[in-house]
Amino acid sequence: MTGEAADPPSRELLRENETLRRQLAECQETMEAIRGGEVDALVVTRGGTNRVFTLEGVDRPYRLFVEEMQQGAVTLDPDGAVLYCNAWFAHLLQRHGDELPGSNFEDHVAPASRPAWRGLRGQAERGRAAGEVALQRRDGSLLPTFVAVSALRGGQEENFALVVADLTEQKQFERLVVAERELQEASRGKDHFLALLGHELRNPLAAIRNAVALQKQVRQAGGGEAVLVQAGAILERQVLQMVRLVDDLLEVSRLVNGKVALRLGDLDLAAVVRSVVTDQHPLLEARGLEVELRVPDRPMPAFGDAARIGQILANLLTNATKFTEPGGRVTIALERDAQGSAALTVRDTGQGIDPDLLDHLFEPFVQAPAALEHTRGGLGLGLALSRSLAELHGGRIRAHSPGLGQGAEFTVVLPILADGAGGEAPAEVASVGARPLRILVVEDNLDAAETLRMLLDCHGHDVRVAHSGRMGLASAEARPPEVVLCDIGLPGDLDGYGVAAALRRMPKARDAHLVAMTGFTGEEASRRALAAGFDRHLAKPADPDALLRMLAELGGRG
Amino acid sequence: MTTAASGDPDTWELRLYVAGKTPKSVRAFANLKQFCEEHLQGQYRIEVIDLLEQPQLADGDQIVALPTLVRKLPEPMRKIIGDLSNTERILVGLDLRPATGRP
Repeated sequence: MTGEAADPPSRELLRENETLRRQLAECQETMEAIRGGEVDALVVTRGGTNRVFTLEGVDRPYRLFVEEMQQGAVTLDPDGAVLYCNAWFAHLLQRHGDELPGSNFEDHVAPASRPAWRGLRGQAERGRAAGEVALQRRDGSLLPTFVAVSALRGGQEENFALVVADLTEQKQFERLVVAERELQEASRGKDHFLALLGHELRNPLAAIRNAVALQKQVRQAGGGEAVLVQAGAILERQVLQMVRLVDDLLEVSRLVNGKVALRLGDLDLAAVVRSVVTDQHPLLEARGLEVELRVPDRPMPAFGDAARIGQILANLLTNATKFTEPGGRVTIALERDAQGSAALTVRDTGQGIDPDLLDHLFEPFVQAPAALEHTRGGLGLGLALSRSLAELHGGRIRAHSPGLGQGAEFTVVLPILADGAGGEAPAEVASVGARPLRILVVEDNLDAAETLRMLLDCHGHDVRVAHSGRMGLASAEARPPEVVLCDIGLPGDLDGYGVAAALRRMPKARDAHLVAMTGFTGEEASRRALAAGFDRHLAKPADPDALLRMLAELGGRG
Repeated sequence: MTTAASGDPDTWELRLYVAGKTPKSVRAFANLKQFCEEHLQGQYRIEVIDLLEQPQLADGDQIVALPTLVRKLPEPMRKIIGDLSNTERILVGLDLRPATGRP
């Protein structure tokens, strides 16, 4: 290579020789490096395009990761066919690993998620995209997943790599979080309700305690008949108020549990509305409200439970009274709406409804927020009851208010009969032929037993009282009663059902009229009492008027 | 990837072709760094080219196996194939030491 001079052609040859020698050495080195395992990737040129292949073993750890990881891994060809998937992806779809290659990925996407999937793939063509996609499993069930799609560039064709994460647990967790929040809200609602309930029960109790103190004072000091009368009136009013509260409570509980049955019949809606408004008129007037009634003169026949429909209207009127200041106006309108249903509207000029509250208005235990000491009275159950009753009739109820301070409007829509098949109102129970009866009262609450005895005494009946089932049977044996008013929950080995059964077996007493008096209400309590041998079931506290009317009826019959 | 001075006529320009993060690619880069710090301190520049990302760049230096180190400067161009774990071979391949047992 160096030193001696040469002719130009031979110098040229030498240079060429040197280059070839260098290239050959390079080739040899490459061959040796490959054979000696010193490289782990090769560049292959085909059709002017280079592709890099890594040697077997290099990516083995990655393959292992992909096979073992608890996320789905999938590669797709440009047409969306599955080229490869890992075991976990097959597991997610409840399929064998060898069923999936060749299938179209989109066939495994839930139909509702396909637009979302196509969107992701479209985005992935410009790089990478990720989003939620529901997959469809072998058994047809849906699997919520999070799919990350990446375009695999570098080859002649553009494939896609997918990583699929199962979102089932996350979704469950999200549902639990929502459920927990709802429970907490419900719990807060109940807490608030209990506070309200205590407050509402306390008010009548305070008045009752005062009235009782007044009576005691009059008895000890002598004097004012007028005070006694007034105290009596207070007692009556407040007890009535408490009975209403407790009735509402029980009613909501029965409605919630689906235990209210309607006594359906033909009725005239116009008459029902008129009669409720007449009953409530004094209350509305006492509040200083102007009442406007717009009811058609002609009957508006419908099929339903007149008492319950009346209850809906009464609740709405009570509501309007509570939230409208004196001088306001309450309008009651009954008309046919465009669909031929009856629309009963109660509109007031009161404080209106906060739009935020409108949605929750008909849920139980909701009332316009107010400090406890400024509540409007009532438990916030009226609207919940009204909605349930309207829905039981196949109707609905809605509230509307332009906003706070701008009045409110409640509309009850009830299905109506097309042609008027007017029904007859049930006949009043005639209170004729009242006759003194031999009555046995079985009741373990001494006060309840004594007051009942006094009440019946006053009306000329011959009353014996027993405080347990056994004593009741002994009394009946000694002096057979015509009527037995029997409590169900009794101390000792014999409850009210046992007493009824024993009386039915007692020759002297078996024809007596047996009346069960329980704190339980509803169809189930009645059915159980009748099955035990009772003739009738009355819920406690029994309305004294109703009780006396029943006795008068029995006396008249006997 | 650039290290130390550039534009200096005495600077060695080295180009390392790799295939992503294969074990030998990773090792070759580590070995090269160490080698340069020992023998060429302050007068080298390393450019790493990943042919998995840009396969067409294999054409310029006619690369067929990876990893491969190419000395662009000083001329003439030299190539060393493998993971550069044998320091002796680098010294010889880069003409920093005459080959032993060679004619």
